[in-house]
Amino acid sequence: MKFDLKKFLADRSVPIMFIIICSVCIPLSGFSTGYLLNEIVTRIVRNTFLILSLLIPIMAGMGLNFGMTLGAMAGEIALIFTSDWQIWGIPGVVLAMILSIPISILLGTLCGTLLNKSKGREMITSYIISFFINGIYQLVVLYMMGPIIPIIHEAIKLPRGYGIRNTVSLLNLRQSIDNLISINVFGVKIPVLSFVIIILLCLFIVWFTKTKLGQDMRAVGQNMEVARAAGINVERTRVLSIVMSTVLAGFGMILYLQNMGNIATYSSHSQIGMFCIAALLVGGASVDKASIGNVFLGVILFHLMFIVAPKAGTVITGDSMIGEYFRVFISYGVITLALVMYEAKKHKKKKMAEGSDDEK
Amino acid sequence: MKNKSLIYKIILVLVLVVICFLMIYIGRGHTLYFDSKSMEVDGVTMNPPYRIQVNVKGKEVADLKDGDRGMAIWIGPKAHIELVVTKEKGVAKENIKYDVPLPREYDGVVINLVGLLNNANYDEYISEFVPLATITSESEEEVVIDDMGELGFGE
Repeated sequence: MKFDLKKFLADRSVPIMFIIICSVCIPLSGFSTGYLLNEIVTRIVRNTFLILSLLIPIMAGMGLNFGMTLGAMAGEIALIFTSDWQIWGIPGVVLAMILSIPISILLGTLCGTLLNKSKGREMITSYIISFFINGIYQLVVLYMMGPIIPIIHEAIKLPRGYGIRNTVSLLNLRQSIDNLISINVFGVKIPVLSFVIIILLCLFIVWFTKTKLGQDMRAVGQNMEVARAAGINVERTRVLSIVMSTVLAGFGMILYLQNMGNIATYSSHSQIGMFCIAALLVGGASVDKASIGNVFLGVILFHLMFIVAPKAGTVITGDSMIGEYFRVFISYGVITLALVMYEAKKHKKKKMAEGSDDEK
Repeated sequence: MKNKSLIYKIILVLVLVVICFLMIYIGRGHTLYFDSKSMEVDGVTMNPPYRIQVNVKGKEVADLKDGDRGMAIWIGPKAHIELVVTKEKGVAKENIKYDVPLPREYDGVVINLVGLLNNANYDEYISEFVPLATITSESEEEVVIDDMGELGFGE
């Protein structure tokens, strides 16, 4: 088989573009290697779990799950309770993860069921569902927590006596997992336990793809009609993939927030889906194909750009906001580019199939 | 087959519920306040020693003289503390270890070390920390709802 350089570059255009941007911005930013490595390790630990939660729906042919925000909301609600009950450290993180499971399952089932009603338009539907559920989240957190759902501590309640404050401190949970087992390699702090958790999730995903349910999801992702003819319950399999993604996103959000050390109650989750999806696409994934390798490459490249772009922008233009805008438009741009490329490929495949049918 | 699957699911839920309760039990956090203040029990006044050094998890968290207060945080139902007591200036130090059960209902727990050292009753040396009431009224906090996200991407 002949190596097609044009196809190779076209398939990897997004990561290549990011490698070029980063290699221009890194020297301009003037950051030391040690600083960059520390920042990248922190961001890998903070974000990878969340991004890995996107892989299962892609395998099931449901595209990029913007509905992962639902899991993030479940994680936040669980952390609010943990914080109110004063459960600190690792037990607090474990408790929050368990508490998030029923909420994530409920929201995931709702999302999966709705997505089954809108086959072929899953991404836009999941995006809008996340706004819809965000409204319900606000109703619960802003009005029901206090008078209906008991919240003991005044410190997390709004001064009016009900609703949760804009920021909930997780000071006593902060980096409890990251700091439990950590080593220092040449000045770079490596949170071993956090990496072990991420590796375990990677192994779970690899194992899961080989199970009966994993194979069913692949079959559904490749062709729903063929899968149905083979006796697979397509609708149930699709709902399960979204439920699994939502539960994992809930865990991921808890790990993310324990690393940050506080919850921005009304905004932490709002863009989480967007930047996780952007990172995955930067890693070379597409709407219908993604791997664990894409996740790691994406986290590194996307966050490297996040770190260096503002400083590079300041050096080039004298205004740090240029760098801020630059990284945001690049993020949205990469999602747009990936969606356009996916549609163009689909269109091309369809045309080729029509052409071969005509020849017959 | 269906029954078996249902049993597994019920067992899983029960295990998770048990883990939840276990985490609530072992993860309850408290802020501990150590007082080295004289206290009166049954009409007898107990005076603090010259100096008390408080170690928690092998780290020194407070070095207290008469009237001082120290602070530490503790996760768990019982606080394991080590006191290094110097009864009088120039006298040899004495190491004493204590396991102090902490009341679940208190967030902040004040431990009077003088009572603890003199084997006073639990209720006499343990009390709830009540922060001083502030006179200034808190203004209403404006809730910032970010539907469309900020430029920071959650950073």
